[in-house]
Amino acid sequence: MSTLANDLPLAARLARRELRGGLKGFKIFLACLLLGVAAIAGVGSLSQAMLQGLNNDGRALLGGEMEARLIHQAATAEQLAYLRDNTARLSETTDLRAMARTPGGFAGESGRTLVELKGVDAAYPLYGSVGLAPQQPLDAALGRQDGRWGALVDPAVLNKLGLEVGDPLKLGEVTYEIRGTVTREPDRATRAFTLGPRVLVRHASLAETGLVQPGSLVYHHYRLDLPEGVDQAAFKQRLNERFPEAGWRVRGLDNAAPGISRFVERVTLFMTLVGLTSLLVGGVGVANAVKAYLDGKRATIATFKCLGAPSRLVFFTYLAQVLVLALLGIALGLILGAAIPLVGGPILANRLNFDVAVGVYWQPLAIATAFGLLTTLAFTLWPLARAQGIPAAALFRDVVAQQSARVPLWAWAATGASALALAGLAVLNADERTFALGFVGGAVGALIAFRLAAAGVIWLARRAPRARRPGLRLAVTNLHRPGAPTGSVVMSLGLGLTVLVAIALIEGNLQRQVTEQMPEQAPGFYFIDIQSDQLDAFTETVREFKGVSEVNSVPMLRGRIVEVNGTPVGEATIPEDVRWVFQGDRGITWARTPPDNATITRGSWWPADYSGRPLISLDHEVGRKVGLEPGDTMTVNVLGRNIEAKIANWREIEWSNLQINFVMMFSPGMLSNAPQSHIATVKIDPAQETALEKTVNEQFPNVSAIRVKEVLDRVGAILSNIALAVRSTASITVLAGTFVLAGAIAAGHRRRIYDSVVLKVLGATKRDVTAAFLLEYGLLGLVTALIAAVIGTVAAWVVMTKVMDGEFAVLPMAIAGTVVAATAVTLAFGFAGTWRALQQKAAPLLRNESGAGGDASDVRVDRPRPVRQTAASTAWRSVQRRTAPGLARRTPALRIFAPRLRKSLEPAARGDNILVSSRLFSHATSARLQPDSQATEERGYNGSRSRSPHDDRRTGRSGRHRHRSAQLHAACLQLHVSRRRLHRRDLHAGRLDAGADPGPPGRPDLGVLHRHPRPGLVRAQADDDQVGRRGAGRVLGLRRHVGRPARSDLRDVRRPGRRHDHRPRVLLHRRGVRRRQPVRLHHQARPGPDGRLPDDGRDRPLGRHAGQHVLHSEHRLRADRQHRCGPGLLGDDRLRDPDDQEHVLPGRHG
Amino acid sequence: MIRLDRLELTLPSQAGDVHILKGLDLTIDGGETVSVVGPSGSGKSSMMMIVGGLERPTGGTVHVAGESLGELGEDALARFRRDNVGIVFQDFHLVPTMTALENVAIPLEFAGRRDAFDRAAESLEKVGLGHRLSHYPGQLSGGEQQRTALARAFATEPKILLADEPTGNLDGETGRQVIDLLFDLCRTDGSTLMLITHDPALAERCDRRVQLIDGHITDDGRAQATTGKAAARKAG
Repeated sequence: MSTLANDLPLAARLARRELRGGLKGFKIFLACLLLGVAAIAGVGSLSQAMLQGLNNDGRALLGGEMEARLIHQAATAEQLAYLRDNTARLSETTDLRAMARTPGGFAGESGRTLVELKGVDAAYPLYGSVGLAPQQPLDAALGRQDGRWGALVDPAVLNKLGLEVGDPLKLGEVTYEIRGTVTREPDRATRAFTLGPRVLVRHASLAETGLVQPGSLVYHHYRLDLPEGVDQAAFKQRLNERFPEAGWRVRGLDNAAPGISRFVERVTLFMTLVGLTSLLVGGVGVANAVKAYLDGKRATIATFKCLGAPSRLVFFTYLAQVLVLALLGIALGLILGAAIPLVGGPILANRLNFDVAVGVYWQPLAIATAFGLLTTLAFTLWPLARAQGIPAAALFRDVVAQQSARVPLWAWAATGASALALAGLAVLNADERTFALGFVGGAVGALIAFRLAAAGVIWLARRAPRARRPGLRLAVTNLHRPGAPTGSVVMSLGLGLTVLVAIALIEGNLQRQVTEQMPEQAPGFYFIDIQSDQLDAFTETVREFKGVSEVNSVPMLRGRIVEVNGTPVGEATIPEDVRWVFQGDRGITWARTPPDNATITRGSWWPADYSGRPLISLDHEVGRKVGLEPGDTMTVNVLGRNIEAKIANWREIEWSNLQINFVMMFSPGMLSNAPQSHIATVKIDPAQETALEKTVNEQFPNVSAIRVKEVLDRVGAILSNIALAVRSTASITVLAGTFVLAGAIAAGHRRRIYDSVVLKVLGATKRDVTAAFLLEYGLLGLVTALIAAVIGTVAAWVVMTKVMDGEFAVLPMAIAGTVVAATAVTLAFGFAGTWRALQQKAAPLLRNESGAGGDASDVRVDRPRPVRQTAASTAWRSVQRRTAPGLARRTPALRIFAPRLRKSLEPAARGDNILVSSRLFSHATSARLQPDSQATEERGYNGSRSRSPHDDRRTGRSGRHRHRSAQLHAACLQLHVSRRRLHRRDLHAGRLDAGADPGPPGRPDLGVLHRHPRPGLVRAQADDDQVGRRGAGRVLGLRRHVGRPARSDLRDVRRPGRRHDHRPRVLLHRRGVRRRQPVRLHHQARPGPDGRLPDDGRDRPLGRHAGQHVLHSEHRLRADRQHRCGPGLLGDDRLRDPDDQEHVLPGRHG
Repeated sequence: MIRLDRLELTLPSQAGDVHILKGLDLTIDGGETVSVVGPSGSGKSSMMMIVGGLERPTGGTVHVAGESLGELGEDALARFRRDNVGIVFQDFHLVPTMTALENVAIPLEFAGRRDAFDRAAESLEKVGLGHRLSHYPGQLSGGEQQRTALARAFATEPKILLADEPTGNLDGETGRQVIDLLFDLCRTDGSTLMLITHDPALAERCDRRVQLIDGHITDDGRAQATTGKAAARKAG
């Protein structure tokens, strides 16, 4: 009994046998899966390698086992003592920004630059080592020698100030001696963005510089090693309990480089999703490949069913096969993906300042495998379920084959489940689920949008007015003919292009803001760390400076939000996009009056003379997203004190103009009395910037100047780098899309060859055909690109305005660039795929007209046949199968070129000589055509309607009509002959005898040819008792000329008036007969008085021949003797084989 | 063995419904050999497909080997075919990726027979292809392919054998050999044979000749059969 337990092993066995067919037709399938899986596995592996590297280097990156950080003020003596008492080792470092300058009186050029200054103590670094050039001990390099402190600088400082090692460098009030450059700083990896190069000095020297003032922006780090057996979490808890208001941020090894880890994870998520997109796009290719493969397996599936296979078995058989191939593709992808860290790791390590732990990570590989398998299932269950519905009757009836099999309900469900699992995996795999969900939703939405768009394109193409140019018409009809790849190409290529357009637009908009808009509105300088007592003097100095148009200053402190409405920040629920506000320390200020650039959106501003309990004016966005209404409380730690403040109002802030903005503004009172520094923005004529910087720096050495232009340039450069990375990843998606395109083109290859040959036969030049195909792909690419441009623009608009809260402008150049590139790619791929079709000569196709088994090429053990021939014969077979009007209806090429076709039929209708083949003959005689009336019959070919599905051949009723139907094809050939390869193919002449019985239907008998209107028939029938292959024998053509034909002979074809010595000869071509196998031909000649041939039953052997037999009436003999020199009718060298004697039959002239 | 009552078949097509079978009544007893003749399009193949459970009639009833085919589902029909019907096609329809042995073994495997390959080899031996077991269809001649198909059809010892112009793609002599083999196997297995042919001589070899024209049975061959042709043949 057929149970699942029985079916599965049997299905596996059948699948194994089917796999003998090799990977034919599965290359795109494999490529699509490989690419997507490799992208996901590669990104995952690289990310794991980086995170592992961060983990390995955790101590060095953190600078110790734990770190406590304070802002503005150093640890108190009590705190320091506690730390010293409770740790094994302690190292203290200080970070701040400062102006470095060449001291007055220095012989070299004078200059100044903003640097990231770091003071380190003797214990630094607890882990890792500082790389120095030249090599020297750190202590010696930084220590005081001859009354001078030493400094180690980033080489950039030397470059910028034109200094060398040994030169002096002034920081604040102290002049240091540059003793070397820093090549490696163990704890620096983690900041992607810095305002200036690093300068390393001894911690003790900082006090002398005067840079560390109350309220100045200084970070104090205390790195420590815990004693044996002390738990980090317990220590952290004790520390916080002991100094509840210290306001320090304590980090352990588990959180050594939170910024960079977060960055890596974010980038990983994004890249994984892009990889998933390429997998989705590839999924379309996978589905197409499986569908095409299963279409080719119709006969086999129907055979299975005839032999009693239940649908389920068929389904499992091909599912098993698809899964095996999918696993192969996935495995290849995994290998590639796992190798990516090996190559990419070292490159990244160089840039990131930490080691990437190269290795094979199983987790990302497993996830990539799951993605690959789920994608395969989601995209192949459908075609598989359809294939299992192929009825057994498909073997007998083409009509049935046309009907699309119904897809059972469970297949819908299974496909849906796989898709859901895929989406679920994508979301669950992501740390930021909302983002992943949005991305998945967007991808699905885009896929649907493209599917609809493709349907729209097809609809439009169908209804488009008929173009006058045949090529354009062909291109348009090719967009909507049944089975056109428009849908899948638009969908897959379009998705990739959408991503590219969106990225181009987002990047373009950001760049525009950073490099064009911002500099216009932005101040020229930020001055930071202005002490309160310096403020008036500073303002005066700057305001009176030449070229300065605006000076604004506000007090600034750094504070960290610790509680929201009494709940510690760690426990409060805070949306992802505003979490940054609560994660680290923020700049805060206080003000009596609302700033000019702000609007109060909720609540009200405090009175100017307010000095009561602290109030906060909160950013509108933060308040809305966290749900902090006026009246709620926030606790902010400032300068080691927790300040609980009530929210008074929400303020709308315009961030992009780079004015001084704060998320939190306090009411005056508590903060106005705290030690604080001021920050000032100055708008100035760019020409005066250097002068102002110099003046300020000389007067106020502790004030640091940040040049906004430099910062923006650096932001722009970073933006470009990020965009480049993102774009390269997105290109993978486009690549997957082009794979799908290539697959679709390959699938349509046979049809294309067929089209191309038909067009050529009808007299189109290669250029015409090329133009038609180019136009088709051009239209496809253009349409896809246009839709992608629209959807991509919408996506970019959403991202820019809704996610990034920025402005959005449509950038036509960015879109146009993408569109042009996309069209070029489509054209290139399309044309590459079509090139072979264009090169296809009509003759081999016609020569291979025998219809024997397309299936034979499925298995490699079969005698190899060139693909071209197989394709050609298939195409040609389809010509024969279809009745002429049906052909014209289904083939755009024929429909479009119908006028030419009719013209070409005219000579045939006048009784001119035409060539027919027996295939055509049998086609014609079994044509499902009947003329409507005698009148239409007389008019000749008229594309008549079908009256019944069959035709009673025996009555001969419609013989004349059949005759004309055959003439249609014959005319095609004739035209071809007249156009091409004149010296080789002198095919022509001979007219069909419709009265002869071609034998049972389906049997490719020899046709009967004779020259019209004279009698003198030559009737031949193959009778081979040696080899009973199908496709027995057939008359391929009639040759009336021996030797090299002249153009004049061919011209005669079209001029029936001129009489020639017509010497009909029947050329028999045996397919499947090996060389040297004898073929017997029965010859009957001489029609009786009734015009029919008597059957005298005499057999006349024709002797041995290598697959080609020539039979002609006797009067040819003389001519042959004179002219036995030219190439064979088919231009086939075998004809010239000395063994290949032509044999002569006694004809009526004998 | 086979009973058709008022059998009708209508297929939809673009030009409108096509009535292919217009009320056939036919009874065929077990072990009979019946040829079906008629012009192309008269409905021979359709009738055979219905008898083989490949197609569902749109009217009337079909009883084959005790089963009412109209009531069976798609998979039940497949099982019915597996257990009761062998089919020989004009185009052989061997699976190109499988060897001759595997091709013959498929129906046995479908039936879950453990000795599938032994029996398949035996079956191929019977048709004289014992030396061609591991050849692929592409390596076999047309006659050999059709003999393989015969072996496949007979491998499950079907009660009914359906043959649709089995010699249509073969030359005369090969065709004769295949037909001889077909009749031999039918006789030894006692299978009922329904043979579609255009060859009058071949039709004559059967016990009965059913003629179909335009969807009607114009001659069910009963009269012919009662002349004792079968008896005569046995006696001869």
